[in-house]
Amino acid sequence: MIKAGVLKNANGSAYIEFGDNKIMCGVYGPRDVHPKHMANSSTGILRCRYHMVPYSVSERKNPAPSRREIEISKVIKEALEPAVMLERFPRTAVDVFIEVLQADGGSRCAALDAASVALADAGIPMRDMVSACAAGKVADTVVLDVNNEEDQAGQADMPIGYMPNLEKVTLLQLDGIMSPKEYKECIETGIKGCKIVYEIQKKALNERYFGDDHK
Amino acid sequence: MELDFKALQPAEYLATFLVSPNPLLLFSVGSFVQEHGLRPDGRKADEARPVTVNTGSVSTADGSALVRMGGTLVTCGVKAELSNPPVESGDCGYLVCNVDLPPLCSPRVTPGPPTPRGQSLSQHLQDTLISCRCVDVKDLIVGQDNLCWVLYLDVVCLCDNGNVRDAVFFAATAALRNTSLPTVDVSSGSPEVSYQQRHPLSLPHLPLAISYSLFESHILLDPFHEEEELSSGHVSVVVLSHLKMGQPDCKLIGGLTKSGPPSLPSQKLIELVHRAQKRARLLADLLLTASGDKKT
Repeated sequence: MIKAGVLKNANGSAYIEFGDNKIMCGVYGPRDVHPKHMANSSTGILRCRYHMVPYSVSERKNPAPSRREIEISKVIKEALEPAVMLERFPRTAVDVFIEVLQADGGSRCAALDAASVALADAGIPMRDMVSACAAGKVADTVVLDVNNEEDQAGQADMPIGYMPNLEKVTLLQLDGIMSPKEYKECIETGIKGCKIVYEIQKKALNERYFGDDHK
Repeated sequence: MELDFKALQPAEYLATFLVSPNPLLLFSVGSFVQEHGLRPDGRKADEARPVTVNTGSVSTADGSALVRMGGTLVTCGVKAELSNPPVESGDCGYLVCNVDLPPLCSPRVTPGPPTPRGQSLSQHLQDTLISCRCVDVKDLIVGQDNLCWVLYLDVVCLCDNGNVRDAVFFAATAALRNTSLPTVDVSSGSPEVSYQQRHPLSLPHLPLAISYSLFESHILLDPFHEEEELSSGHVSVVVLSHLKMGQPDCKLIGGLTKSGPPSLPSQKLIELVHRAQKRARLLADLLLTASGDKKT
């Protein structure tokens, strides 16, 4: 389930529930870059912050950003960059902020899904949506959307970020062991999952702008 | 035209809304302007924004709540972990409060370490909960064998549209009420934790903050963020609410802060405290309805 336009302050926002993942995303931009030396004179920059609240996981997590959160922030930024038309906004920044309220495996994919919807909600021009879903291997079988329990006991986890209309992959990671045949099957399954998520992303934006509770 | 005025002279813009239609009242001795004017969002000076609360939606937390006050959105989660009691006074547990204002919540917040605003909110919440005995850390002891609960109370502001303090206190109160601790069986030597059998926290009363901002001569209840920025002073009243038996009792005052100009006569402060008690009663009723404990 995805709901767009849920935060008053952010220029664009989205809330996603993907299995037991509950994630809030807000986008500000294009806006001035502080510190100024980070601004790029020929193109806008995209900045991303993925953060988990302390009670989002079974063992309380320290509020300070961990190495994993910084890695995921980088990965999500790089997955969104091909889609956002940053060259239209030189010397500005588009900030994507993600707060994970509850996590249960595949949160980077769910976060990416919410971030795409939030960017669209902010009216930032994009070449395509980015839809993400993870596939994986559990008990020698290729499966779609691995949750936390399956990830702990499983053999591989492959998050995929995909632009459905341009048919291009913007994020691909793999943890685990696979044969080339399983790898091919995994990517195909993952892309199928991404296409399903894309329909839900479109639905969220449709409801926000053309639905009954149009604000 | 109106938006230009608002951008260039924000304080005058706000003041124009609040001017009393009766100029004689401006000069009456011993009383401030009667609040007859309206604020830019159509509220009177002593009117608050609509409040909604939702509890127990985060299953990874032992207690959770989501509070919306107008556009301000705050979420709180409580997590309990077992630990050893402090060496100096070994008969109590710990309560650790943290309020986070991430860059998501406002265009004015940049990523980085906690700001003085966030830290002072954390401290205010922690001090109130401990000094008013809302959570008795002595109750957090488990058995006799050097074991205690550590309660982590983490509040995260998702959207700061003004009056975050009230939303933080309400979310913390709602989350604490929603919290249940697993049962620990220490009878067999080594502690056995049963996550299925849970019992609620013992909470004699819980704090509700009601804040006003002081803008020129006006006292505005539940300020939204533009009013807060333009205001020179603030008053916060913490009312302790006894929420048992389905009938809230909101009489005790657990804290009072007044900062910034203009200075107020003590009679005015007493009046604000009375109004805060009434508002606390409304919030307590809402919380009881949300958690299904309201006596009908």
